[in-house]
Amino acid sequence: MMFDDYPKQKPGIKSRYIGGETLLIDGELSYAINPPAAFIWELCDGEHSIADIEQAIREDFGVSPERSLHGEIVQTLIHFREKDLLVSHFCDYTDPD
Amino acid sequence: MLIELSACNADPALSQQQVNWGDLLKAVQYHGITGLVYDKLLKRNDPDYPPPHFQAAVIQAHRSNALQMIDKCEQVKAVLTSLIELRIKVVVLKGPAVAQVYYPQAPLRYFTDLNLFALSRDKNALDGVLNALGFRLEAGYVEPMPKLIPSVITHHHTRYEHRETKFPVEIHWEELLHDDLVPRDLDGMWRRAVSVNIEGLQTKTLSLEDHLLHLCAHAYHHRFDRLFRLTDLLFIVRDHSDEINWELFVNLVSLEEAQTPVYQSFSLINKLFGVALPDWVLAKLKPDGFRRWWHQHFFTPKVTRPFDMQEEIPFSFKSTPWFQSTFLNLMIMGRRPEKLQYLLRLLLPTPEWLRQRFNLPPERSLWPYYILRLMLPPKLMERLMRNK
Repeated sequence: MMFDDYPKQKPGIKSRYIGGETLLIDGELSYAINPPAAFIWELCDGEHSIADIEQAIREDFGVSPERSLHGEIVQTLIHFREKDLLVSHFCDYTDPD
Repeated sequence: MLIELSACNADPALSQQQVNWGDLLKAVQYHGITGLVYDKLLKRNDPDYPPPHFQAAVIQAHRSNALQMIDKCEQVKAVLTSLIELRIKVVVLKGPAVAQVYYPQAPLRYFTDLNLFALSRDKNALDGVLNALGFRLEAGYVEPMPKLIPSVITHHHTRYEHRETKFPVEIHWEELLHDDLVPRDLDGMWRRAVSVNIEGLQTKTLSLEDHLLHLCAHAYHHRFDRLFRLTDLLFIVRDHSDEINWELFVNLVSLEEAQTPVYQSFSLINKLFGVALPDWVLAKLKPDGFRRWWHQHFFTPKVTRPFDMQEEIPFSFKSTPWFQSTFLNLMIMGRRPEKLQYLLRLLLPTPEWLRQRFNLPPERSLWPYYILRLMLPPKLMERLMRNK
């Protein structure tokens, strides 16, 4: 699978917390995302790697080190990418075991 | 069901009732509580009840409203940014401030306009700011009538509208009590104003006690037509009770003689949501029996009969017809001497008032108008002049 090491939001996309979900607004299109996805979205600033995001989620949501989050984070990023919400500078990505 | 859905409490329970879900959805939207119902449904996290089609419709409606709110918030931010840069003093009233300060979560409270409380001396500066931002005075704006007595307002608010987005901004100069009267403690309201962060900007809003009074007067003025006016009050009383200086609040209500709107607002909240004020506060706010009798017989809250389009009796001491409106206002509301003084002054108004009222040129003698005015009831005279 191909994925950007340092995912970055596409410029011009607005995000707004609406009291339970966050809306991502890309021109006329809008997408509702849940709080964990919104957390990941906020860290898609081109400066946090997927490993950084995983670490941040562990700290903020109190997730134990035994549980792997990598796959879920990547899945969320794939959703963002499918909706064309991320800047695309792809590199090879392999899901670790 | 509407009441359970709008209470925004920690208890996710919802009673099982026979409900026409289509009608309920319409009522939720009409009452401006879609955000609160959305919050309730998220907390409940029960996919089966209310039925999925109702839940989906509420979630979709809230998302759609939230999208519209983004544009409104940007307009609010633009206006406040300019006012802060130019150091024009304003106090943000109602919607954006209430959402930010009193609601469990700000996005759950929608607003349709920006209401600002401002100083008369800043009228031109505000006009300049709003014009520069693309706002214009609402169509048909006429200069307010000169005041007949200082304590009765002639100018409720100045309304602007954005040329493209149509977003309205209302500037209130003295209107906070919704009874055509200047608050007796207007300076105190400015002094007590507190900081609030709206759209990342540090600005001012009314103190908790002043806001409570203002919101009660506003809800009463609209005859409690929509539930969100009551949930505004509910969240203040239920969630911020410890922060309220009740002694100050009781004194303010007493000073402004606003017992009727305040007492009736809290009575209705108690009846609908089961949230009561401290007993000693309610006892001090209770209007006399005479006023309560008139209120009970002639004032019906709309929220208890939603969608009832029956025409309401007007309720200003400055409106026609006299009996239904002025008389009722004098029976129910406070500060009667000032209102009577105003009504008497209508018989012998100032020359400036008379000229503006009847659009008279400066060379026209006013004597015939004064004589006519004393001979005919003012309202009848005005009607005759209008027909002429």
